[in-house]
Amino acid sequence: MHALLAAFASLDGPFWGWAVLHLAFLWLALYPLFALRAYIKAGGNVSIYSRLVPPEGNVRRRRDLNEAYVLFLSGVGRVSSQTHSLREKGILQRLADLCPKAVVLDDVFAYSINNKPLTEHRRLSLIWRWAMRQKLKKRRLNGLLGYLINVRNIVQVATSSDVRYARVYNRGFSRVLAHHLAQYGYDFNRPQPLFIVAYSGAGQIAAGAVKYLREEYDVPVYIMMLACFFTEGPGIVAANHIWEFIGTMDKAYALFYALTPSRWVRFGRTAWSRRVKQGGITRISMGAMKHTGRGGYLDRNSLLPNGVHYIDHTAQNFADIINRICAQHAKGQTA
Amino acid sequence: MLELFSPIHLVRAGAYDPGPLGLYPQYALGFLLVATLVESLVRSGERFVAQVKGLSLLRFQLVTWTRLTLVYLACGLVMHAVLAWGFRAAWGVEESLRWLGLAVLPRVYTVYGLIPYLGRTLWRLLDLWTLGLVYLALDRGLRIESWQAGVVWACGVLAYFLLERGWRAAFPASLADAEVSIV
Repeated sequence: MHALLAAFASLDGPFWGWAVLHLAFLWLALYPLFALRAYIKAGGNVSIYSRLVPPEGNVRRRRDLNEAYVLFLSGVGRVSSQTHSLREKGILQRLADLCPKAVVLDDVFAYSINNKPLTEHRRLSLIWRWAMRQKLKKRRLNGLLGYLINVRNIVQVATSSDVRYARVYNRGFSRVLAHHLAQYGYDFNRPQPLFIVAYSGAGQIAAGAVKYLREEYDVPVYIMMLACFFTEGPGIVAANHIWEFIGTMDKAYALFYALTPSRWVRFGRTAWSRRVKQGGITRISMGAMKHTGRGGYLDRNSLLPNGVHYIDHTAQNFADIINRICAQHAKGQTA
Repeated sequence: MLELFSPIHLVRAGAYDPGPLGLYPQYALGFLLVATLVESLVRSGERFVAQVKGLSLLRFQLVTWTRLTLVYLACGLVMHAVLAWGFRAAWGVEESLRWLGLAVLPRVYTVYGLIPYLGRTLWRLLDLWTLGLVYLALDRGLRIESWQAGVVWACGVLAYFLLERGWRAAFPASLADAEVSIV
């Protein structure tokens, strides 16, 4: 025993550094297998967690004329289908007001294959609740501890973008979306346009699920990527149209772009380059906006040179597109 | 031995100098078995995600472990044959395999190939690292001329690709591709 302790004591700093690094890598490597295990074993027939968040104003409320559905998928900071962010609540409220014929939803947890919130996880819920409490505190150190949630959700985004796991994860999440839409009265026999407004890491989750929403449910899907990470994949081809909203001060988006080499090349045979050539992807500059926080897309205090708040400008951009596409669909159905 | 897991340490010339790190052939075989076991487990993990389950998965894993071990051993034998007949090497086959065993030890890192999104790239980097280590093992471990190490290395790599291709053509069912279905 003494010899063992002496051996441990003799191990130096670099060894422990390597050991921690390897443990972290090992966790990353095995995580998708454990996360998807139950789903694979059940052949995809897992129960979808369903707890609707009560309406706030016009958000999450059915309309008289459900002409379209707008689904907001939040960034990687979430732990459940309920948002705690005032900025997110602000943009949802604005979207609901600007798009009177659309049902605006946000109560889907994009980083779980069955919509189960982290705070209700069987074994790890205590950790995630603790991390959430740290995140909500305003102090910097607590905020850093709260980033544990972001790391976990980033791994989910990576899982959705890896072709090996994507087929399982994205299909599972498309079922969550379909189930959720049905709960809000979506009629799959008369499919209305679905607008997925994805923020940051949720872009990949949205793009991944689109392929199956189109193939299995025949839902017309339009994706609005608010500075999103997403890779070239079948979802890019399947979506009816994709809009990218990018601020010139957004360093996170620059990092996302650097991490997705499949989107660098604008020629060749990639689905991305084909889609760009066909005009299926539109990039919209949002001006000098940052990714998040003060000066971010959802900032309620910062003003554009024309005196419009950043969040209003962002919401107006979304609403213009949604209302235009809704009008086109209505015209098509009438004709 | 733990320091062998540091890539910085491994690429240093000193790591391949005979001395306290010199390995016995039986250990080298053990390293080879461990490295191929990990690689077969990783490939089984990928197949599990693609819906190969139960006995099919176990069979796939055993076949893959055997295949990888045999292919690496065969490559070692090919390299030794080139050394013995081409360059009149004075040592036995166990000495050549000893260095090959050390060179493939980092293949245990193939487990990181499962990391989502980055895993495939890491796997390719590991392949390149293994190729470099095999060359170092020949050049520094067996103390042959650099150009001779290059020729032997190229023969080993060629043998690897031919054997892998040959196995795929001869036993396609062992790759469990036919059983893959999508959830």
